[in-house]
Amino acid sequence: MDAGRLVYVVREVQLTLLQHRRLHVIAVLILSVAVAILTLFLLVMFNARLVLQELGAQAKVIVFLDDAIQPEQRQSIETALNRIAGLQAVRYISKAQAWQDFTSWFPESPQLVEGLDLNPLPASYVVNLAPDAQSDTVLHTLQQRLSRLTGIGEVEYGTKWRRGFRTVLQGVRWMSLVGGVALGVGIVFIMANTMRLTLYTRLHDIEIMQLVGATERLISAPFLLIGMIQGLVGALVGLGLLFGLYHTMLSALGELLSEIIGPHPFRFLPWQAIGGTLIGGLVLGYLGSALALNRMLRLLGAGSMPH
Amino acid sequence: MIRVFDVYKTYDKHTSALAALSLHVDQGEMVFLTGPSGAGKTTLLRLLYGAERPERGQIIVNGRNIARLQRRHLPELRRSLGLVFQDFKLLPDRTAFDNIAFALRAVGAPSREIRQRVTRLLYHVGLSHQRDVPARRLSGGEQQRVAIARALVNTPQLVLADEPTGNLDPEMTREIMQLFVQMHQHGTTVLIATHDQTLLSHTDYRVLTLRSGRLVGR
Repeated sequence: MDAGRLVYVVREVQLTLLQHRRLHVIAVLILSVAVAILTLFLLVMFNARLVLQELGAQAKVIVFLDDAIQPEQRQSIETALNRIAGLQAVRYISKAQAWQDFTSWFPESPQLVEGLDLNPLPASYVVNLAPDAQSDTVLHTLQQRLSRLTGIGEVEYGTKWRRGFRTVLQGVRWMSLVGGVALGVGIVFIMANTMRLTLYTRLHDIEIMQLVGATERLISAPFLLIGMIQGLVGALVGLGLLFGLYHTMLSALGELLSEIIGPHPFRFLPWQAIGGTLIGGLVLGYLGSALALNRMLRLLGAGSMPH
Repeated sequence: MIRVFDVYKTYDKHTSALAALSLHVDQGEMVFLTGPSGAGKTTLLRLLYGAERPERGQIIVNGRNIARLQRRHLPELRRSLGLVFQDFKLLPDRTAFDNIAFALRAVGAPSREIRQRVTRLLYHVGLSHQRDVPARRLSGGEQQRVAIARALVNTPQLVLADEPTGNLDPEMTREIMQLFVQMHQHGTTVLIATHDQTLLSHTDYRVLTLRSGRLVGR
């Protein structure tokens, strides 16, 4: 596009935005709410993953030993544990240590455990694994393998809560996907309708442009640009709304969450997601405008020239 | 300049607007196209500037076959034409200058050239003093002069005017016709559709008469 046409497009964009500012502000606000809802799903998913990673890093495999275990059996179990791929640390907890740890949980009510003559707790090994060795499949295989060794009573690695959390995460992911597609279509629809209203008010101008020999590309350019600007501004405002909501929620619920899951790892969306949202807004704005323009130009061109 | 061969145009499959129409307008000629309302004058002009397509026949304008012209080549055709309408087709909120400049901006002319050409044309149509006045505040005659200036701004070889004096009083009509005569004297081919018989009674230019979509006099 040469300088003359560029000046023309910029002037038309300015003029159209000023003439219909209320309409464009409303469109941007609706769009920003849609973007805020959409990115809220992303934010929930992103943070759920962080929580999962955090909890995963704390996850450990506990190998409970039989009370009647022989020293050589314990030796061979220890050798097997030291050969596990992705092993970070192995710690032996004797029966006595386990009891001592258990009683230390009730410093205020020692009478609860004082009466017990026997120690029902087994000795155990606590195995810490590297994060990449903590998948359900790896842990399950490890459990199967260790359970076959003589002298081992039970192997625990917290399968249930992992699976439960993953199911919830999967649900959120599907909701985000379906919601994202629905909101994306909604955004294109909003943009197309706003642009259609704008185009109706500029029909006379468009007709004159066609009569003086302007190309469809030049006629469309200002409106496509307006769609992109609306999309971008809507995405920015939407992200701003989400940022505000995130901080409000964090200051209101941060302490409670810390008590439930420990020091929380919550973060706002990463820059890739922010960049993607802005580009998404730009693209959806363009698509909405293109849709409206296509229909309008076909309508104006009907009965004139064949395509 | 214009060659129309055996052209047919119907609306709604049954209403015949033009039938077996053949005519020609030579380069540098000024021709009037007349006939009663519904005779097909506007339809013929719309065919000539590519707003309509004939069912049958061929139309050659400036060496282009309009009947076969693809939509993407339409802007090129329109830039080689100057179009003037009864309702002026101006942007009411824009100034006289901007209305003329609009046609140049739409084809990507540089700002300096726009300024020079529009200023010259405003002077030519006698509207230099109204340059910054919005079109809606100009009189009918002034608005039509702005429209004529816009039609001439791309120095077209052919000007098509559809009832250009239809909304004007006799004094304004004379002034506007004078502008068409001047553009013809400068070598531009001019085709004016009008049903104003008083306008035709004083002219020495060729007159084509349409009735019910057929040419009945030339």
